[in-house]
Amino acid sequence: MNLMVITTDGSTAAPSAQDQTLMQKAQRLIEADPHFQGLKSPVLSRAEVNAGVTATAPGYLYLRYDVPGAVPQELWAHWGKTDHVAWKSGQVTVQQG
Amino acid sequence: MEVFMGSVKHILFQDVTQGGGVRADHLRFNSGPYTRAMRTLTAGTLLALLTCSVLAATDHDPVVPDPRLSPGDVLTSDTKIICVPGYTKTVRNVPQALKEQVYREYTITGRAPGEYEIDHIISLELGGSNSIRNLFPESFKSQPLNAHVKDTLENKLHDLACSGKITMQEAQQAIASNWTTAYVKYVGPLPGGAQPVQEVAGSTGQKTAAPASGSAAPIPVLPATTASSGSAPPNVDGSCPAAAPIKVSKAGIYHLPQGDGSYARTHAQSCFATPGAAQAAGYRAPR
Repeated sequence: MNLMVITTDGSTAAPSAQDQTLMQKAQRLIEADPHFQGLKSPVLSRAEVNAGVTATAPGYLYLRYDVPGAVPQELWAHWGKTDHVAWKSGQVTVQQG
Repeated sequence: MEVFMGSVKHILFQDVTQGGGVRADHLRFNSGPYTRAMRTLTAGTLLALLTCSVLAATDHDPVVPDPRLSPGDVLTSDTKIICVPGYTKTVRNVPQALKEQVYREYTITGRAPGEYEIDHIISLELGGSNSIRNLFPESFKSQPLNAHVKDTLENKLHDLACSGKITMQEAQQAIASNWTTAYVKYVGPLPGGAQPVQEVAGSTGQKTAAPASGSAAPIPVLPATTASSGSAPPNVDGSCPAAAPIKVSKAGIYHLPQGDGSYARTHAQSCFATPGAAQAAGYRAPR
């Protein structure tokens, strides 16, 4: 899955190494979540950094998993103090450092 | 995974003073090519365009999204998923920080409570996503076009797509490319005699496409003409012009000037020359 940055003027840009790390760590957290494990064959289909949002704020990294025959799952990852997946809201906090 | 790259079109900014005068200083445009294009406009051209904007009541409200920022984005087109009652509750809410970013991108820096919503261009009930590509700020209070008007279209398209009269993809494409045009096609005349926001160029399929010259300036909402559709905008006091005296109410019911006890008190949302024209536009007679 290619990670893409959506800049504030709507154009796209390449992600930073930090963004790549955030995506990878967020994926690992999501995949370990019991709710996610209950989904049938989810596939990451979209990963977008919202450049105008602070990297520590909810909404920074948009992740979408397609689930065949079911509602696709949209989640957002950001850096924070501790690793945490809030499944209901879709917010994934990834521990910084 | 599908992404709609909406055709290039104008952002419509409703920008008049309450007295009908023009306040060009209140125009707000996004940075980039669009701004550069606007800067090339002569003052005369700008004034001529803005003086046509006589229907709006509030300032600088984007009625249709900027296709560079918000081309529209689909989560799913599967009617077996979307058309199940309660589907939209299974889709998560947009984080507030992301909403704030959308406001910033559209240069809406101050707002009153309840003045705007961050709306999905392709609504959730039509399978739209929560990506920032599918979000734009929409006013509840601008007139005559606002979030409530778009809601009517969303409900109509949902009904049509879920009843199989059109495909979900058609519904998604229609609302993403220009919801004001889609409204006329699937619902009827826009309220207040507004005309659909006009497109400036053919579809380019490019998210970054934007007007490139001064000729590609925003086109304000203009009063409808009666020539082709038999419709006309209502007068400011809610009456209809003599050429199109039939009043259409908020409820979508048309009232004739003779023999209809409700006619006098009906504040017209649109006007028609004949009952047939009103019916053709999707309105009904009183029961």
